[in-house]
Amino acid sequence: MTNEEPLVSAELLAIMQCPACAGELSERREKPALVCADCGRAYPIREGIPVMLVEEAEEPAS
Amino acid sequence: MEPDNLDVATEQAAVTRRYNRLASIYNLYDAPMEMMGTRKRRKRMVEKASGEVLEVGVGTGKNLAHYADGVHVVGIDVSTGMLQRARNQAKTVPVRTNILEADVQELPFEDNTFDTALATCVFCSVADPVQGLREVARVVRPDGRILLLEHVRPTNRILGWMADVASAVTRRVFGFRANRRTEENVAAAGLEIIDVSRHGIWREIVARPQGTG
Repeated sequence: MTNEEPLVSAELLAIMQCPACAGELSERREKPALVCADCGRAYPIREGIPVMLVEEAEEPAS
Repeated sequence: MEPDNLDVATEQAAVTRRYNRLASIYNLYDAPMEMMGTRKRRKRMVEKASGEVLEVGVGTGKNLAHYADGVHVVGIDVSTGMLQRARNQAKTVPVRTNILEADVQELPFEDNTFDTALATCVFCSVADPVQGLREVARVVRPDGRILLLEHVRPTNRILGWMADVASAVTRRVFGFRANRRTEENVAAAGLEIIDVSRHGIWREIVARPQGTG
């Protein structure tokens, strides 16, 4: 896998939102995750599977 | 609608743990139900799915082989153990799939996204089924379809009572309830039922987000 390859397909990311606040998500490559632009929660991507559970999300550093 | 004394989150966490434990033997454990006609009913429901499909409770991915050509399936489940199997299964089928860990009570999708939402034998294990069904209605397009195959609480008084008793056991051991009133929950969540086939305790329900399409 090259660094340019998306962690989650663009098609899938386009229909996704933060399960906690409905904010827009974007990829984080180091420590792979989908990060919410609004509430800052980071949803980990484990073994290629995005874990979109609010209780599993990293809370934003305040 | 449900005699829920347990806190919803606590119950959901317990269900997830049970399914993670069951993942390696799930298909074996499920085999007797499959032989009693569930497979045929599942296949019949899955074949109705079209377009962009959300499969809630994709589990080990048993339904993936039954989808019509050309659909795109987004499969979710709360159990990592089950999803790893679903992902392996996804590699063996022609339809395009994406697998995510997500909770139907808090779906990570935008409104009006899917043409079809499908769940087979799932809502008996969701802690707050009405909230789950509301979320499904939110992400399905107004002209989309919601397809549910569920076993429910028997309407016969004595059998219903037996299901209530059995449910105390099935809920703790397997994480599902034998006495869910899914049809009532579908209506309570504000979905419009278009068609129901009733076979014993089985319900094949076709619904849509209410007041639309």
